[in-house]
Amino acid sequence: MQDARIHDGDILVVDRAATPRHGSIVVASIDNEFTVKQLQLRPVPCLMPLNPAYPPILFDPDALQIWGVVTYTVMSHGACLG
Amino acid sequence: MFGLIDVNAMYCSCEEAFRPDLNGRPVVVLSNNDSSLVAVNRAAKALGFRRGVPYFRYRSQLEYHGVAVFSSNYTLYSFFSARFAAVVESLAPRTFTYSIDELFVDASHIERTMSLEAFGHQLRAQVQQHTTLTCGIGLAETKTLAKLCNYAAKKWSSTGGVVALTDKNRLQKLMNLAPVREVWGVGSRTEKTLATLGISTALELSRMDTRLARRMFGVTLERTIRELRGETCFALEDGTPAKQQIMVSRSFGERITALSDMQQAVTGYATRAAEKARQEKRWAKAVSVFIRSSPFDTQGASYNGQATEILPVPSQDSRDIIEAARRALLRSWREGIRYAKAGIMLADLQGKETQFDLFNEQMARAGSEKLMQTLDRINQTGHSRLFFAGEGIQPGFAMRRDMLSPAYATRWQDIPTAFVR
Repeated sequence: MQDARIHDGDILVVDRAATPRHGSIVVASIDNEFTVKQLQLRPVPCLMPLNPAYPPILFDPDALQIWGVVTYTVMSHGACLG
Repeated sequence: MFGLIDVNAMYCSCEEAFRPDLNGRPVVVLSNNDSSLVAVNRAAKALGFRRGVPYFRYRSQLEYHGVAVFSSNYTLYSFFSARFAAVVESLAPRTFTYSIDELFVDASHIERTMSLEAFGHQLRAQVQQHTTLTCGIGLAETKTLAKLCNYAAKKWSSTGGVVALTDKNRLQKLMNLAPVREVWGVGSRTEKTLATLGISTALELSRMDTRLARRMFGVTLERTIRELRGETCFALEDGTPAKQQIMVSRSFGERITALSDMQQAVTGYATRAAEKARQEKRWAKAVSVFIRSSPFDTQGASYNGQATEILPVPSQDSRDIIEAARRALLRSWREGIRYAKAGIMLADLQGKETQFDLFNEQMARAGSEKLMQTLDRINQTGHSRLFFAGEGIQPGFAMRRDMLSPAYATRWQDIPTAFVR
């Protein structure tokens, strides 16, 4: 996810209570797994991968499960936690 | 005005929270030692699986239906429980935690600002959004009625999970539909005796003569009846209508054959039972121990042993309970049995006022209360645990938890993964 600057191994801080808005980085559950995407509500509701290799996902706003809104990213410099 | 909020299929819901792949799938959670099914979600229930059945008997069927099976992960459940309580407290200032998945709230002043029903729906939506958990909510004049409304909220999905009843006629209608065992504090034994009096619904119970109820069942049932009539008898912080017994029992991960192992196990249960007694401010007069082989074992003799010791003075001191339990164990022990389960029961429970008997020569141990308080305080910190050497230092009968889920919320290595793609 180039633009949002999220890298492999980063830790996301996710707020379930926050309301997702146009442009929010969100964690959604799609195809049985959690995925990080940018939420776009205009002109049509879709989840933008922000990684040009993947296509945007159009969704039905009533059926989509947004798990929470990403509020911060803790970037990993390769150290192992724990 | 009170509300009772409880989480639907708490353990299963916690297991599903961080597992999008489990959405809509059948899920069951096993009891300690993976011995039986302790929680079953809606999809698993639809397949015919029920709580309480032994796991090993249904293992192949569970596999066949692709049911997700978990060992109990109490770290995860208590994390969710605390979150759940925090969300409710943010909307209702006075709450009382009744169990890991149930809370009472004081709803006295709600109606000044909004309807009870709207309040219930707001609570439910907040809990869902903040914790992923779905809950049922009952609101009414007394705790006993709130609990009954909660039953209705769960039973009839058209309620949207919230039932608030203040109208007498509608309450009566509900009580007429609710079997008496759904009334808070009515156990199966009371239910049976009530049946002989022709009382089978909550409504019939509410019309029972209170003096008769007090004489036959004690003051608690009398209060329950008054509460059904809308008269508040239990305050927010009052616990359960007092328990008649305290039980601690467990199945072993592996069969126990040595007396020394069994002594360790029983000492541990005795300690736990004494802790519970202190929490509930009860003093026990009778200590019973039971040990048994497994009814499912084909090899070896089957045996069901039990013995009871009566304490000279009612006690909640771990030392007294342990001593009595070990004496009872020796009396019930038989060599050569492959024991699968043991338990301890404290009975003839009394309040503090009956603790001192003028005519009894033997008095309670000096300094007992202080010592036990200190013990409990240290153990409640959760950092370390003080225990009786009799429990064994590395018990050989440790719990079996083969299908334990990760500590998603409390261990860095275990936080869930989201994919960037």
